[in-house]
Amino acid sequence: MQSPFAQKTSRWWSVLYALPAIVLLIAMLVFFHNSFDTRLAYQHQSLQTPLFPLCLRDFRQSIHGPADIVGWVSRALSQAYFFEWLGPMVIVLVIAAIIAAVAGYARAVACRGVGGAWIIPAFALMALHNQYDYYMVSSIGLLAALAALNAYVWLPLRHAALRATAMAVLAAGLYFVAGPPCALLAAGAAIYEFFTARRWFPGVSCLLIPPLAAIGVEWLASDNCLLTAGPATSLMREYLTAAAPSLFLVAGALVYESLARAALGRYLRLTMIACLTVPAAGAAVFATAVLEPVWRVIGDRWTPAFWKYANTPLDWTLIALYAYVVVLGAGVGLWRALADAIHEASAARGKQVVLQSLEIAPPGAPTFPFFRIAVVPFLLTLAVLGGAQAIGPITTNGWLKAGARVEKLYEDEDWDEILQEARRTPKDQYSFGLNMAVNRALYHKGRLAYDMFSYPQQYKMVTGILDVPDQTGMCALSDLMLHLGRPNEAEGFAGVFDRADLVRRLAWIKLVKREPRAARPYLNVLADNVKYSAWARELLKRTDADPYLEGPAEVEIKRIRENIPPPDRENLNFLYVDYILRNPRVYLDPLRANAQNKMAFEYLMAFYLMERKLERVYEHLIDAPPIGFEPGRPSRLNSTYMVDGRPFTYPDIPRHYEEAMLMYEKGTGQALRVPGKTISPQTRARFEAFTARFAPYQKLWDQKDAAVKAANFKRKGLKVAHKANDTKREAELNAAIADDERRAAEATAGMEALKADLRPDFYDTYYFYFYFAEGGRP
Amino acid sequence: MKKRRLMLIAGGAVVVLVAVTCAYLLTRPSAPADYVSAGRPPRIRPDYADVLIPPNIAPMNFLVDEPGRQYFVRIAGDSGLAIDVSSSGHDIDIPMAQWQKLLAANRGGQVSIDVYVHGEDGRWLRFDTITNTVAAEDIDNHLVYRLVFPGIHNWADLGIYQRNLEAYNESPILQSLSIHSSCCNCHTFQGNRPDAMLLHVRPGPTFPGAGMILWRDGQAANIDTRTTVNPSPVGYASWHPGGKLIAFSVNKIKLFSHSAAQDLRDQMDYDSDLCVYDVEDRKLAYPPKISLPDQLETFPCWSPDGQYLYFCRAPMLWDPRTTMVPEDKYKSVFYSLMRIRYNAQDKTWGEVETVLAPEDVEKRGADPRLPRDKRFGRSVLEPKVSPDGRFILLAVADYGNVPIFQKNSDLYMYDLATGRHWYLEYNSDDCDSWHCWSSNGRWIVFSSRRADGQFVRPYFSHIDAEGKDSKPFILPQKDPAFYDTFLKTYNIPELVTGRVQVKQEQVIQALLATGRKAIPVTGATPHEPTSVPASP
Repeated sequence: MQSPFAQKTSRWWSVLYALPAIVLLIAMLVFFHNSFDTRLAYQHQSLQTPLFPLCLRDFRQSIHGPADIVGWVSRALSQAYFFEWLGPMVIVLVIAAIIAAVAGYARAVACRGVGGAWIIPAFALMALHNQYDYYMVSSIGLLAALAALNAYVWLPLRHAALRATAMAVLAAGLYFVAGPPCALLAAGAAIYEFFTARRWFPGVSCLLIPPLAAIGVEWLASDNCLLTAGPATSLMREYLTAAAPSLFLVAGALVYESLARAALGRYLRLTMIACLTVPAAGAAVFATAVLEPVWRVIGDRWTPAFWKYANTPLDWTLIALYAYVVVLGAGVGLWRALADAIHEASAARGKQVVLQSLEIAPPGAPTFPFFRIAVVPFLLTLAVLGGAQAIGPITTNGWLKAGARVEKLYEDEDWDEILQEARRTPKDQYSFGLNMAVNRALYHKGRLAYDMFSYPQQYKMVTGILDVPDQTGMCALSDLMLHLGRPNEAEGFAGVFDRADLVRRLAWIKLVKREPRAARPYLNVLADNVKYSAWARELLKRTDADPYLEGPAEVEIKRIRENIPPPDRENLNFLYVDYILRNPRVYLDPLRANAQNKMAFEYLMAFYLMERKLERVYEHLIDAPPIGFEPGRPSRLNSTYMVDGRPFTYPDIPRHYEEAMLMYEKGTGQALRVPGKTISPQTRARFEAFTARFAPYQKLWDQKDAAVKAANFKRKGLKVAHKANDTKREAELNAAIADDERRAAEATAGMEALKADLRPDFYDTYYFYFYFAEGGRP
Repeated sequence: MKKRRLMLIAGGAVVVLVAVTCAYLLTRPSAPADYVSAGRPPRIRPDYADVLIPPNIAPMNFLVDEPGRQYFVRIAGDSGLAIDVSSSGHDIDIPMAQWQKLLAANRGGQVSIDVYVHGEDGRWLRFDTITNTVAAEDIDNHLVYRLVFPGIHNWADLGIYQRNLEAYNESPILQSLSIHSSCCNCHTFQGNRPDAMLLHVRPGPTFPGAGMILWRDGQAANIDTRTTVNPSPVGYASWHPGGKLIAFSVNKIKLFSHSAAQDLRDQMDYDSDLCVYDVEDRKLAYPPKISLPDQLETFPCWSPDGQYLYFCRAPMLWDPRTTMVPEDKYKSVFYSLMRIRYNAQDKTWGEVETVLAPEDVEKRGADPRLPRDKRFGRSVLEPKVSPDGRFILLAVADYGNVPIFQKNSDLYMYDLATGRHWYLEYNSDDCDSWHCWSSNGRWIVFSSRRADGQFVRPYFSHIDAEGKDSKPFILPQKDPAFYDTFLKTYNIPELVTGRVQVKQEQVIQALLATGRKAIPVTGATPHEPTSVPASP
């Protein structure tokens, strides 16, 4: 039996092996830089995972037991995503290491190169990363297992006891470092020993030692070593679910091989595909079983049902990736074993045709024909260049990418781009966070009072304490509260998760509230965070010099503090999103504290518009000094929040306020007037056009209402008739109800048709929102 | 040939051994002989200066907050070998074994800490000696607490953990990540025994298990204590010393927030009663005298002899059906410390007595010139009777029943022998509340925000025979800068005499156990004793 490490490749063109690999890596780098934006992945993943300080102190505090090292290393490597080029480079290097390890292992098992088979994991990993919520931990776990596997198969030791010892050391180390992917080591090493090296004792030890080593590691890692073997074994449940299928896999492959050997006498045509069938089936089971503990490492540590996770393309791709290693090993291992047997048979019987049919080189023939080792991989690599562009659109999770993009745009305060993104986003994918971000963008562009109903408005969808919206929503909500002048509510919403973006807000809020001691732990942690390190270190310096940040240079904090109502205006709240957003005091109190708080004024008006409180809108228009009309005019509100200072002004009446005034006029029948300003003729003309076209709607609505009421009335009669057992009356009423329902349905259809007819022309108006509770571009 | 090779290997090993020994001896830290005196004590963090420490506490590693290039610390006592620690950084990492020996040798004596700092000017600076006292009495060797982020709704990663106080090992008892981020809370022990514990798990959106887990005799059982009378699960608990009864409060709580006050969060009970669970009969009883419909009763605590149940009571100032926070009344709720006699033989209850009324507790910092009704009046909460039955340690707040959310909360001691009560000397300006006695009654652990006003940390203090407290010290950590970056708070620190052996899997299996039923009790707050079976 030829040992894998005895292989020699002396031909000069074997360097071509490196060329396709280099081309492939460059192609992947370009792909990850251009098609897959790691900065978006960073933004998304950092909002989904706890704050990560990149420092040795955190490493020491994070390592408690098995798989913690892989978890920490993965999180550390993921920090590179924040940088435009470093992120793609890290991903590509990890992929390169994986495919090198796969190739090394396959070569050891097959005792020869395996063509372009090593490229396959690269495709899988590209597709996985392209999902944006693929976390590095799965790749690093796989890489650790493959590294240990290669270390074992290339180990220059032949003695069975030494190999078993090496396996024990590797398995224990791997289990502590990576946890459950240790099963991959067991299966891969057993395949190598059984098929390639033909060593039965080491093969069996490969299957038995890793579970025992893992139990030992669990036992040692448990506090004070008080565990007995029983509980330690129970902790290993997840591992064993992975190890058991690997036993079946290897056993199945052995049986298959025996059957195939027995069949050789009849010169069956065996192909690579046939050799792969059985291991593929076993490996799929194996890989799915490995996947579940891997997911445990990521976060969810309880659910035993692995199939629960395997419900997205990402999950199945990950399964396929793990399975591939075992399939490849078992496949080429079987092939090698069968080839050896066939060589023996062919030498004895002179049946060269068998070798040809299997494309197996006869003894003495060149092991690495040029075409197989250089051209095929090279062509495959070229295919990657083209395929990369195809993979992008096919595998990208567009919804997630768009969400991550909004998150990043919001954090960068790129208001124009947010509005562009919102226009591109379909209504059914419009999230609470995007809604909040759009309103903030409109406010900062000075367009909230003009264009807010050009976009879907749906904050009322959030209703419960646990109905926590997306995390961009929480960031935006916290920001809104702080800038309005509500630091306590801002703190409440920022404290919902321990994510870097929210922790950054908590630190800032504490400083706004003049609590530098409380801000310090947050700043200390952020000082080691890739994204906020510079910001936090700068603030630590500033708070060292001026703990309460009250110096003349602290303009921003001063501006926020000016908006905070005095303590005697305290009111109690329930920190539910819906409760806060729909409480007018949230806006009124800051406005009373600072009449120049334009944000409080515009959000208050937006709140009244959305609540359809037209009277309140008009009251604030004619009373409100903030809007710039008659600033000296005494009024109920003037007396409270017009203290001193010059209020902000508008050049005209904002469009949505005009539309609300027109509706109020229509409802009350009285002409409304804002001193010094008039409603623009365009707005008035458009409203009249809408009113004219909307008139049939009211009629249809009345028809529908009458039909529904009539049907309900008849249903009461139906009950009476049923009790009286008056079947004739029942039949009459049923027919009449059906008729009413038909008329209601017709009216509803007419209303829907009318709404559809009005939408293209009026979707951006307040009155369209008022009547149909929807807005935004169709 | 083989023999020669062996000789070579052995010789090489001896050389290496000698070299390592020499290197160790040469580099072993020693106190600088040439130094100047700083004339003041060093700034160290955490503040472990002039404290009374248990003889079995883990090494109290600290940071020297003084600028320098090299640090040398000598820790010595009247007996035993001194510990020398040299460090190029601010952190002083005390060797575990030497520390344990030093404390054991100086039990009841003193240990001194001498700090030397090698300054930028090349001179060693010696600071004044810090002297700590080693108590004669051990502290219970494990602390159980809940770690949670301080945010209101942040339950994603909380858990109940235990920490070995003689070392640094921390291990989880139950983590919310294991139960789909459901909330777990209110761990309570029978006395300070680690083998009898209960904790609660609230129902979560995706985890099907919830209820009260009773861990006893190595078995975890899920007890459903919800009744038709009180559909809420039980809350605060206290085990009768006999172990057969557990007194509970049933609280209808409301969390709310302040818009302008410094403390964001607040909480109040709309309604609350006390009930008693019989562990063996699995029955829940609502004794009418401690579950009055117009009163709020909470914080049960059995006396060590089992003859009295102490609890807190306040009149209910609103309609119990209210759903909104009564803004004009919630700050007018003041709880009194009450007690009721219990006869364990015939299971009968005596009469309720007032032990300490709110009007007898002086407000912190009140102007003595003010009339009495302005100076006095604080809410008396969380009674914990010392194991010898002499003292009651209390939390006192400005109003209501949740001192942890009030900056002005303090700890008070009540002497049952004299009826006298006093403000603990080492209370802080920030919130000091939830507390627990050690089994020997000489140590307390309590929750305090004194470090930064935000994060709750566990502090330990010695209580002498007269009930006097010593300067508290924070839970030691291996990394002395641990608290600088630790963003979770410690809830409900409880001292126990050993490691809690329950495993997460046992708790989870008990939570998922089927067959739980609601207890068929009717009526609001029963006026007659009601005893109903609780489902296992």
